[in-house]
Amino acid sequence: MGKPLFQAAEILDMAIEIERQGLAFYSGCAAARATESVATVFEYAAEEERRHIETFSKMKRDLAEYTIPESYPGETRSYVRGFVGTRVFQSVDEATCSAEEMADELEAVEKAVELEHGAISFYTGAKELVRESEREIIDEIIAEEHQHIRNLLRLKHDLTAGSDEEPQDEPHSEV
Amino acid sequence: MSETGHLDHPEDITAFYQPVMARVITKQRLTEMMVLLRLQLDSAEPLDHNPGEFLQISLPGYGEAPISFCSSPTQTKSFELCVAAVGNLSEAMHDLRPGDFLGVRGPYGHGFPIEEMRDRDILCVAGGIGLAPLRSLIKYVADRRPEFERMVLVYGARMPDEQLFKDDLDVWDAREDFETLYTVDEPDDQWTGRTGVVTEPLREEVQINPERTTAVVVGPPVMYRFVAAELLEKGMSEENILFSLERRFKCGMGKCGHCQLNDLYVCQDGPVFRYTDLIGRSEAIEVWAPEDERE
Ligand SMILES: Cc1cc2nc3c(=O)[nH]c(=O)nc-3n(C[C@H](O)[C@H](O)[C@H](O)COP(=O)(O)OP(=O)(O)OC[C@H]3O[C@@H](n4cnc5c(N)ncnc54)[C@H](O)[C@@H]3O)c2cc1C
Ligand code: FES
Repeated sequence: MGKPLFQAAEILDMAIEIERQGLAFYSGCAAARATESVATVFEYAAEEERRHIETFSKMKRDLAEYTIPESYPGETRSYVRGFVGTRVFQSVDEATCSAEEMADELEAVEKAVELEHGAISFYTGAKELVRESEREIIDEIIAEEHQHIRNLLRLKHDLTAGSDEEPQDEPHSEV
Repeated sequence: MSETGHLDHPEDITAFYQPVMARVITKQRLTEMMVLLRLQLDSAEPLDHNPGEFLQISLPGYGEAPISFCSSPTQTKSFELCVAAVGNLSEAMHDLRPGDFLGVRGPYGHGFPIEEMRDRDILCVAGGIGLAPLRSLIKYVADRRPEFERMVLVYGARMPDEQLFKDDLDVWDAREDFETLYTVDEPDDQWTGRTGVVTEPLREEVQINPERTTAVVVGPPVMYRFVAAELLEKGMSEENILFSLERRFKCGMGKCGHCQLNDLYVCQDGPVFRYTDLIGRSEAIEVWAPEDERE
């Protein structure tokens, strides 16, 4: 059995933190001295993160708020940030560097898909840290991330429309 | 007292609650909020405490409160308490001067299980003023170094000015047989060390052998679950994770029920608990997420 260390509302806080990191990361990639088409891909990915912040914030509103008294203002947020850390995204500086080195927009999409898979494995692990009764909320977060990956793969397909490459569905993963 | 632990005669009550007097020898301001008092019993006898145990401290007219030992029992001629000015008694304690007296009852509670920690790696995780009770253990390990294996201290303060025991931190940092990782959440311009909360260096920089390690965790309530998550991810079993918890105390010795945590009395069964002992205890909200009330 997993350990019920956190409530789903707290995993949503972590999810919002991850999306914020993603937004900064993709915006950093978009701003790097990359080609215009690479920048377009990252702008799209950043927009998706923005949409997710809204979705997760709405989901959180429906859940009971659980707060432990802080020893200083912002302490919980610091721990949430610390927990998320670099588990999914690297720093914005690293984002800029890796975007600068990207050859084309396909590589950019692949990078974004890889990162979203990282987010899914984070949430799959986090699911073990909430009570059984709240796991479906984490499944909803994971479903959102799968949708994000499908959107990125569709974008990849559109980008390669001229070539012979067929659109590939995301390999089905366990949720 | 009867075998059941109940008082037999009303006159026992006086004996139970009667404090002995301790004299302030030195007072040192550590931070804006914290002072360190070195004290000596009027009788000059050692209190024979274990690291992690506490005293009930009183000043007439200001009340009584539990305060942990922050000195090691290896220091026998005096003992030390580190006090945050948060209310009636603690503010009055900040006004004490060398030569003044206060009342002490104890030592009380279950501290760190030193005997079973011998020959093991010790990983101390301290947040904020949680370093105070841990200092008692760390100094004990420092004085009895060959009896323990690795000694790792991960300490996080909110900001550099709030770091406790700076002199000790430097001494421990300089020791080759101690591994120390200090961090602050809100650095100032002068700070050149790690930034972030204590779980960050714990996750990224501390490698442990989970079989050989006992982790001791003391800090603010928010910290515990995040530290637990990192320790469990490192492969530690709940059996080897110890938490020191705080509740509001009155009697400090298992009589009044003020400090109850489900069926446990924090003053008597704790304040140091093994993680396994807290499984299923819904009131241990700093180490488990509570049930969703809709369930
Ligand atoms: C095992 C243990 C060890 C401890 N060790 C230390 C230590 O080493 N150093 C240290 O500084 N502190 C320590 N404490 C904490 C300390 O005992 C408390 O902060 C204590 O309340 C201080 O007493 P006071 O009279 O100064 O403050 P109080 O007058 O008790 O007020 C303290 C705070 O609690 C609030 N408060 C008052 N009454 C209540 C109530 N009924 N319910 C909820 N909140 C209330 C006040 O508003 C204030 O913010 C320890 C506590 C425990 C349980
Ligand atoms: S404080 Fe009275 S029972 Fe614990």
